[in-house]
Amino acid sequence: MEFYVPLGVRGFLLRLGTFVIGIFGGVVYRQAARRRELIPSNPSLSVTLTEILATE
Amino acid sequence: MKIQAAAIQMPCAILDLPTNLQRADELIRTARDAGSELVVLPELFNTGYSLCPDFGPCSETAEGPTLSYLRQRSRRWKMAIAAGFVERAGRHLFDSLAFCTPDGEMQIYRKRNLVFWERSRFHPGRAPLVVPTPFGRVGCGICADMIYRRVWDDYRGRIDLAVVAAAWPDFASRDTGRRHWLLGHIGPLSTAIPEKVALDLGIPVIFANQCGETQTTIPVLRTTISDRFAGQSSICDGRHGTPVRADRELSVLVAPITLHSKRGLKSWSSMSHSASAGSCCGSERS
Repeated sequence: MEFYVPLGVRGFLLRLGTFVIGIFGGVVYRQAARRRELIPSNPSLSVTLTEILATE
Repeated sequence: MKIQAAAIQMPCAILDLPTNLQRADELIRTARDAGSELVVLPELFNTGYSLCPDFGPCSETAEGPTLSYLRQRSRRWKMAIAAGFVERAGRHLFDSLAFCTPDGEMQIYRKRNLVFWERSRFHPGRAPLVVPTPFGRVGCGICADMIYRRVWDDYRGRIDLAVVAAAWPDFASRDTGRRHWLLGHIGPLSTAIPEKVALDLGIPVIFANQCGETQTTIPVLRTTISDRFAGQSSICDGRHGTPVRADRELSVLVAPITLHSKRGLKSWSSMSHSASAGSCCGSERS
């Protein structure tokens, strides 16, 4: 994909590196995603959040 | 039409939601006291940005604590708030930006261009997001999205204002200041690109970056840079006036921006107001 600002030769390396990392990263990501529960649970912050929101 | 906009530049503790939310709340309050109607927080402001083992435990759906908090603040203080967080959708995690409006609505943009290790932690988004607001159409971007021409081509002529949340590193040693041989030239782009977009598209650009220490790990090369975030959040008022920029420390940058919603680019070239800009703390004019 074309860059918005010219990055020269380093831009080519960045593009190549992003492509390669994208492939391996995608594999790592898919493995992690499979291990997650399908139904997500949100983090709980009840006390702190209540305190924050109570402050005007 | 002029409105006050704020870019919040803050350090974010890794996977420490209570600390980050409390810190952000104080800074949003400062922005509100300065009359801001639109506030932009950095990318992943609630979880921090790092090669964490797993963002999953801190990821949220629309009902999560961060988004509930942002929606409530937006409604109560009658300000639009854009902020980066880790979104959970089924088994997928996204590096996302929530845009909350005072009427209680919220829209979410998912980062499309994942770089470095991000691809191993997040699923990429697929589409740009334009949010209609009373002050104009807002286009959203996250950090490395800025680098790619296609992102701005997608928004060209379709938006009146751009908001970009970032966790953009310096790519230089925080001890010596020496730039990394491969990526060192990318750090300064965090200041150059928002300015260029503002001039090119003729729209205000609000860029909110993290500050503080970080480490940049480059996969394949197996290199780790003892880095820091570039800071230098900015508010560029389109083709009007001079951009206002923060330094590298915690900062609430506030400045007026000029909006000409739905008029198109030609109206911009005939306008020549000079934006008077100020800030609450830790900012400087470029």
